[in-house]
Amino acid sequence: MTLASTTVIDKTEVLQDGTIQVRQAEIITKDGVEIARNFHRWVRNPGDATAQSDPAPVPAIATAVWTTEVVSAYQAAQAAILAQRQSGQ
Amino acid sequence: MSGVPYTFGNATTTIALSNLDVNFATPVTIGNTTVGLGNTVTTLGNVTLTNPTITNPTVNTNLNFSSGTNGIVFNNSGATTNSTLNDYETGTWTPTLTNASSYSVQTGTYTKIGNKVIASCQITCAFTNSGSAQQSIGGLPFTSATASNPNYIGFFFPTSGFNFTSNLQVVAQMNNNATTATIYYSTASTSLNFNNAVSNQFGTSVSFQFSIAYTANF
Repeated sequence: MTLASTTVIDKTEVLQDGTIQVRQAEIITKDGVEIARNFHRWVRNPGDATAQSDPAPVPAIATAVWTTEVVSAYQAAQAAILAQRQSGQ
Repeated sequence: MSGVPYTFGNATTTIALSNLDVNFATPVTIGNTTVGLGNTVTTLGNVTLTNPTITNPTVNTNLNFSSGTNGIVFNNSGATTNSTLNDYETGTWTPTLTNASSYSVQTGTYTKIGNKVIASCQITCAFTNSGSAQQSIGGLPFTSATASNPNYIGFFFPTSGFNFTSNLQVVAQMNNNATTATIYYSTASTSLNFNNAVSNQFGTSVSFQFSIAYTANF
């Protein structure tokens, strides 16, 4: 009996504002047959430099999606949300 | 005419006419072909059934919805998008705290049902408690939807290392379109006003648990 574990990025979701939701799967196999799959998630917002350190294909997606315009629009939207929160609305 | 050809999976099988009354006694529709299977147990392989009506099925394996928007439609509403369950997932996430400098416990779990996320976490960390930086929990597994009212409020359970006056409530509010929840505390035990929890209200080593339910953007 051989147990093995591999880790892959098995799902990425790009939201309308360019945010990338990443799902990493740890796949456990027994004699080559998958017996378990565990998920771990994180999110990269437009302009987040740490995305370049993520496993493939996240860096490539970030490079393709996060144009200057997308990053600027995201930052402006976040600033507006923060201002609204600080104003108590 | 000695028999009728039928394709099951990738193989074509010819059924003798003399057997049809036995094995195909009760007609059912497979694609555009009507055949009768009677009480015979038959493995059909990769058969595409178009708009089948299935009565009292027993499913012995997973049902896989290959499209990102397909799911189970509950017949309780005329609005399909509001009655379709198209996502279920459980997993882990890595929580963070704004001024944490290192972590000894940093675990989080989540369950997503439809667009609703239920997340919880536990953190024990060394903490830089100088200054008055607003503190937030980060790293939540899905970006939140924008919500004006009501906002999504989570339970914050300070285990050790906090300088809050006793009898105060501590909560965390999910930020809009974000994966962070900002921590607030009530200004007095009898007050309903909440202020931002800032770094100098924390000790140099803190431990807490947190849970929240919120709506995801996706």
